[in-house]
Amino acid sequence: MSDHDIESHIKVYWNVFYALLAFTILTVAVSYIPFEEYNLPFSPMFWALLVGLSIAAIKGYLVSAYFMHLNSERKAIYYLLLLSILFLVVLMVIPMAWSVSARNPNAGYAPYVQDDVERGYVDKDYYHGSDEDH
Amino acid sequence: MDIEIPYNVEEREDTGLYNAKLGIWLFLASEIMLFGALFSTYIILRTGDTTWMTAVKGAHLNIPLATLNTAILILSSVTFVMSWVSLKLKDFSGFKKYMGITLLCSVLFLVIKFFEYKAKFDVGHYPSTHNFYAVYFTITGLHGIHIIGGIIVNAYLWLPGSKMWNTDPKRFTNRIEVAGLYWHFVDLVWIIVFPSIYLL
Repeated sequence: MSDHDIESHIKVYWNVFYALLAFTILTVAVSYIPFEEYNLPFSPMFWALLVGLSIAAIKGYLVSAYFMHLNSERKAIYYLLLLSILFLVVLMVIPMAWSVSARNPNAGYAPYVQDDVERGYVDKDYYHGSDEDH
Repeated sequence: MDIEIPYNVEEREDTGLYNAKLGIWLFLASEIMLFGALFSTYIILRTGDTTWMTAVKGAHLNIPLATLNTAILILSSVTFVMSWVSLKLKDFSGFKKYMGITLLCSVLFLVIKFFEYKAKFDVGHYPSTHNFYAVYFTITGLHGIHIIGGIIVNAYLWLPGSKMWNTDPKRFTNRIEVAGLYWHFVDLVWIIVFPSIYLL
């Protein structure tokens, strides 16, 4: 890299910083959107997740592409990351598939919740409420 | 006895990288699995319990403090990049300045985290209180340990370790780049932790 290249890189780094700050404010702002008040398909939680994690993904891209220089890196590192992401997906899918599987006797059951109620840590009435009150 | 360790500065022909860089990326790949396991735990516990944190009386997370911490960590990331750029421009005092700001931000992050935890303990909320708190303390705690580890390495590179600049500047610049990759990863984890735990 020549000195001139570095000068232009410095500008990019600071612009990425400002963008990250802006997205941080945005992500807090959108968390106050009352998705349950709109007549949307899927659950309000789905939309909160979608919007919140989309912004996080953009921020993650900015950090990895610019600060970690993944926008111009060697192939060895791309292969390495591809492999670890593949394993990550496997790691996440197996327990999730099991937790909703019909063969799982505890499918849809929150573990330890009953214990919490018995130990008096949590209010038992909450567990008898409807799903909508959250 | 003086052994020359190969590929500290020059790139290996097969990987196109100096060894430390490949090493840190292998380590970060294992970190992805570590945090990934905790996130999948979080997703399953969360989807299995619709009441989640509302089940605990008086449970709440301090969003303004966490937002401030996010901004602090982002600032520390950009100053870290600037400290590396300063070395590339052979500006050693610039490196000292930016790395100093990075360390200051990291310590500030932990101080804020301390007050956040203290507020939870003061009202009797512990990891054993509820799955929600177990997940919260485990993930933010592990992240905090990563911050502490980063501070130790960065402080070494800032003070005694920086002597290498006089004897082997290229190798020292590479050390800063590698430490920076770790630090940006810790920042990246927080960027995902913040919306998924605090805001959902």
